[in-house]
Amino acid sequence: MEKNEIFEKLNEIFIDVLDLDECNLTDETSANDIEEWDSLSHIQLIVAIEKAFKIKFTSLEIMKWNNVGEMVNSIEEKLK
Amino acid sequence: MVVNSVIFWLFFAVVSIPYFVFFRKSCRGQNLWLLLASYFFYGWADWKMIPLLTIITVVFYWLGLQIEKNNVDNPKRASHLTTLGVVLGVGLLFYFKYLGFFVQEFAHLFDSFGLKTNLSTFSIIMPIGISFFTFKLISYVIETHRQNIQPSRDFVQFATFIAFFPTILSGPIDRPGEFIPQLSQSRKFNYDNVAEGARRIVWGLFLKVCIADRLFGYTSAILDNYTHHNATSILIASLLYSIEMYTDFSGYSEMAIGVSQILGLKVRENFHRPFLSQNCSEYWRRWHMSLTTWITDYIYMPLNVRFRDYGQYGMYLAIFINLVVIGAWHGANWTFVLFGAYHGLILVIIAATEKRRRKFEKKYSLKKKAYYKYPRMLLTFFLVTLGLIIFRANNLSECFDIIHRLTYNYSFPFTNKTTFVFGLPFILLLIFKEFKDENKYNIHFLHSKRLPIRLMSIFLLLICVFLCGNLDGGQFIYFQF
Amino acid sequence: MKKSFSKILIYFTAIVLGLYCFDCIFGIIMKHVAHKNLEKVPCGLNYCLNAASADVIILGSSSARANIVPQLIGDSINSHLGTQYSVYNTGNTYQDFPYFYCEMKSLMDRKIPKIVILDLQPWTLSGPTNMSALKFMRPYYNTNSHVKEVLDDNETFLHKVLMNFEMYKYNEEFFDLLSSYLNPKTKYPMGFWALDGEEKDYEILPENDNREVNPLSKQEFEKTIQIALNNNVKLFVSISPYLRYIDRNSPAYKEIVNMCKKYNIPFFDYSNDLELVKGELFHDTMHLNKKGATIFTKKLSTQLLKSL
Repeated sequence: MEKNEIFEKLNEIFIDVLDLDECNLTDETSANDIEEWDSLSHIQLIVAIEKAFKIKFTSLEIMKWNNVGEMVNSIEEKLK
Repeated sequence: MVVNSVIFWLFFAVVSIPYFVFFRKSCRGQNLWLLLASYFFYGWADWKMIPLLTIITVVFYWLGLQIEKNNVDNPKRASHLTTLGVVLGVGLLFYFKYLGFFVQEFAHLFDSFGLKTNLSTFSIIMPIGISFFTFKLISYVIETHRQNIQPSRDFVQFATFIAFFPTILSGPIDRPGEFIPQLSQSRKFNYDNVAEGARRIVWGLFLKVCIADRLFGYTSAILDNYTHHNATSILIASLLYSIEMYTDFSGYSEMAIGVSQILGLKVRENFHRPFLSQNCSEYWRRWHMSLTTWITDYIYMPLNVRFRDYGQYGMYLAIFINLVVIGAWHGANWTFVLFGAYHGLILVIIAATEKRRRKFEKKYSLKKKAYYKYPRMLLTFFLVTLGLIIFRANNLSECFDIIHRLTYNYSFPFTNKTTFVFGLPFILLLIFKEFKDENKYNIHFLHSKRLPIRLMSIFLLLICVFLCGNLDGGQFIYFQF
Repeated sequence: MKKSFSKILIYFTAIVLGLYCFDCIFGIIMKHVAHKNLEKVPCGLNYCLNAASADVIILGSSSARANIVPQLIGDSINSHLGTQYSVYNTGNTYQDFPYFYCEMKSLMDRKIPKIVILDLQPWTLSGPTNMSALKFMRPYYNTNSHVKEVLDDNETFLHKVLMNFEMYKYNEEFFDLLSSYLNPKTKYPMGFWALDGEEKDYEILPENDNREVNPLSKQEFEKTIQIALNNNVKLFVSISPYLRYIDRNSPAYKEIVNMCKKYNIPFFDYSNDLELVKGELFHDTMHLNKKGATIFTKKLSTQLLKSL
């Protein structure tokens, strides 16, 4: 999967889980940038992402993420 | 050395003068001086524990470097080392804080297995501050493992972070990523920092001496002798105890943060006007924040991640466990566990009804309405007070006894003129300030734009402290009650 | 940085100087207020230090103040002995040993009383000296040598330094002094504070008091007795009734009994008197109401007369 495809899919997931009107994720986007993205919805996002890409992350991988860019890298790794 | 004692200020003067005069150009010098001062301070409180503090600091310093190396070469080993660090930290805490309790509580269980336990062999003296510095150490190894920070390559910096004297005894609990980088530059004598630090110290002193220590006499006279008092007295004492707990701990935190600020170091905040919370969930985001964020980051989130496949029930379990751990951290007693469970239950209910509540609030645009906000604040305060009754009780039976006594025998309460004459006006001042600060009208008194008002505010607060404060550490004339 | 430092130094000095000036002015005002107070509202410690003139003095805590009616004691003694003794009740809330010792000494300087009734609480001799209670003595630190002696014995070294600051001396106490000055109470004849009401719901639960005797309190008790004996004062020790369980095996209680035996001091313990330990006679678990005080004082007088 290409990176921009991953970003597209993530945008959809974010809009769906966080109940947003629109979403434009970049590498630097983090929880500080989106009001609805808190620790609770973070978990819901992860579950949705795992389901959508049919992958499973380890706790350590999840804890390491600091922004969407790192998230995308992890997804890329898993899809290889 | 308590932070509101004369001897502490003498110590602080002796420490800060060389810090800003002799070492001002040398960051290493300042750090080393701080380290020595911190060890002196800790030794003054408990010199027998200095070896322990030193050894454990060295061990974790080494662990940090090893974990970083293995993060790249051998991730599995890195995980093991991190686990070792966490187990060591938790183990120390368990040994000193909880082992005696466990042995005592399960003595009959041990007996039934034929293991005779002699309680005297478990008269373990808890090193002061252990609940705080072990948490700093544990967060250090975890953050290194998560590659959120680079481990420290300067032992003096690391050791100063662990032993930093304003916060070692009672927090706030700092994170390595926020604190250690500040030690890599020399700190200059900065007017804004010193002025703001001084303001925080004066305000913290006021909270502690004029309110907390004032209320202490009354609340302990009643709650330590609750069998001799009626329900009204117990209720009033419990409500005042909530205020006492808040002003005591936040007063101390303000002083610790203020002292650090004068030294040019930023320390985590601990309180954010918790009694203006509209529900218990918000309360825990505003009360003892350095502890609750620690437990959220290192226990709640990992648990939540682990339970993510169980949907909302996984989250509820994580919330409940989270609060029980927060409760149990406070000490080795079932009352602390019950306290945690009580809040855990409330928070689960709040989480479960979150969506419905949000809808309801939006529908009637309740969020800004006074008739919605203030009753919720009051309700939260009552719920917190009930939790603190559980928290304060010496054991479970006392806890249930006190709660039972609140259900009957309401008559004229026990009053003490000094407590109410001096306590109530200051509590009202505190409430006024909290509401003003919450609504960001932070332009009066201590933070006024006009210098004379700022100076006058400090002057008047100090007068209140010396004239109306309880300078005997909260002792009360009715001690025999 | 030099600029920051000098700014801070200036403001700091300004505040310290301001506090010092306030301290001095405050001290002057409070000295005047305290002095005026003596003339208007002699009570408790105040009375013993500055106004004592009665022949029969009652020393005790707030329990004594509420429980012992001076008029009745006076009438009883005077009618039996044909004397015209005046009586004063110096009982007050916080008082226990440092106070009684100090008061006894001060009484010797003024008019030596003929009779002193020392009403003790059973646990008076145990536990640490209550630092907080001593604050009521502090305003007199510089004006009365006995107060100075007792405070120096009981308090820490730091206190000697802090006593130089008027705000510390009058800490908290200034409020009472000011309010008495502005609104003197004269409705407490001879120091007696009659209380109303009844104690309806109470429980007397057995409690053990294992606290050690405070050596300083014991010393002060002994010295108080010795002063009385050396000055021909007839000393009586009583224990008022309480709606509480009194542990007669506590070290503190046993010490009171022993001390009285040692010096042959008549000792009257009413804490287990079934006629008196009844809810309807009490204002709260520690103080009798008017009715209870009358009955108790009559009983106490009868016993006193037997020993006189």
